[in-house]
Amino acid sequence: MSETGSIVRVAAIGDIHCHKNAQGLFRPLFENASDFADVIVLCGDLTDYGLPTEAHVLVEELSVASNLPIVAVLGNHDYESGHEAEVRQILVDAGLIVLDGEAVVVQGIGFAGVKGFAGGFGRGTLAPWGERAVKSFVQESIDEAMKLESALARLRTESRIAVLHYAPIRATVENEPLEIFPFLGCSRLEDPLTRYPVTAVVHGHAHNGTHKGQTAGGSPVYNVALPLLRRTYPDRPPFLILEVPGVVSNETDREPKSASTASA
Amino acid sequence: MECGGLLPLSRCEGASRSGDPGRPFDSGNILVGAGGLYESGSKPPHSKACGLLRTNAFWSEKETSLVIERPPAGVTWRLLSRR
Repeated sequence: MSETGSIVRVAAIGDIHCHKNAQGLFRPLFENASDFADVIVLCGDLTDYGLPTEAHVLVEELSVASNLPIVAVLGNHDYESGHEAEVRQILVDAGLIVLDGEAVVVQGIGFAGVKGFAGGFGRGTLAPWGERAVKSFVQESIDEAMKLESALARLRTESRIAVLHYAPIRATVENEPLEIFPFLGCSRLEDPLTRYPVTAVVHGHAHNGTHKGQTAGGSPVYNVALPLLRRTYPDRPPFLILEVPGVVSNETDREPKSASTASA
Repeated sequence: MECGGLLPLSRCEGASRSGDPGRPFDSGNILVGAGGLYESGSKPPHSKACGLLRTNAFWSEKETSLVIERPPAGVTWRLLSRR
């Protein structure tokens, strides 16, 4: 297989919320994405209620893009029914690369993925103080941030993309009601992105947020929630194309979902 | 306001999700008007009119322009390499 350094097109989208009656609804979207992109990235809330039946429907919808590698993280909706492990396995069995604190290199681009968690931003970030429940809540966001850091630390590629569901910065949840900002993401996720800068961060969850922001370290952050993309760019396919340096395989029939695990 | 075609999706989603106490942290649930609960996994009441659920309504099929971002290349790599 010959490979050349080139610009790789990454199609990113989040918050598909595939439900059991969605047969055929997302195929045009994924077919379109596969026409324009070299990699597809899914930023969580792949299913509506986290049901295995919904995951099976999604896999069928994604079959039209089976010639492309697909990198994904789960979202809070994928946990709703307590079947997240089964949902994940269905997606993995279909060839998706589902990240939860891991890193992979696909088409020469390093991807670090984690769901993330809530907790608020800046000085308003919830602190682990007081009731045990509050401490548990905060610990969950700390754990997710540590998973992200662990994944980012493994990447040595020139281009690195962080894939999240929750927002790591406040800027991309702006336009949402202020009251729910703390539930849309957490600044704790930004810390590892400052220590390990990335080419881009993509996330979802904030359907009514803002498309673009950046970390304190200058890494661009894109909110790619499907409803937001549709509203922001109503006449364009509802996915973001990131053009970043990578390695494009010259093979006509590319190995589907090819990926290599990043080494420490 | 009718919910169809390329109208803002939040209208459609909100109509089907509002009032669901089990999903308080989904921003799509928050900004919504009246609407009923629907059974887990079932088709929302507004689904047939909702743009999300129409296969030909994601975008204008004649429109070929894409939402493309080109993050500044090399900047973050230089930062990383200096360490």
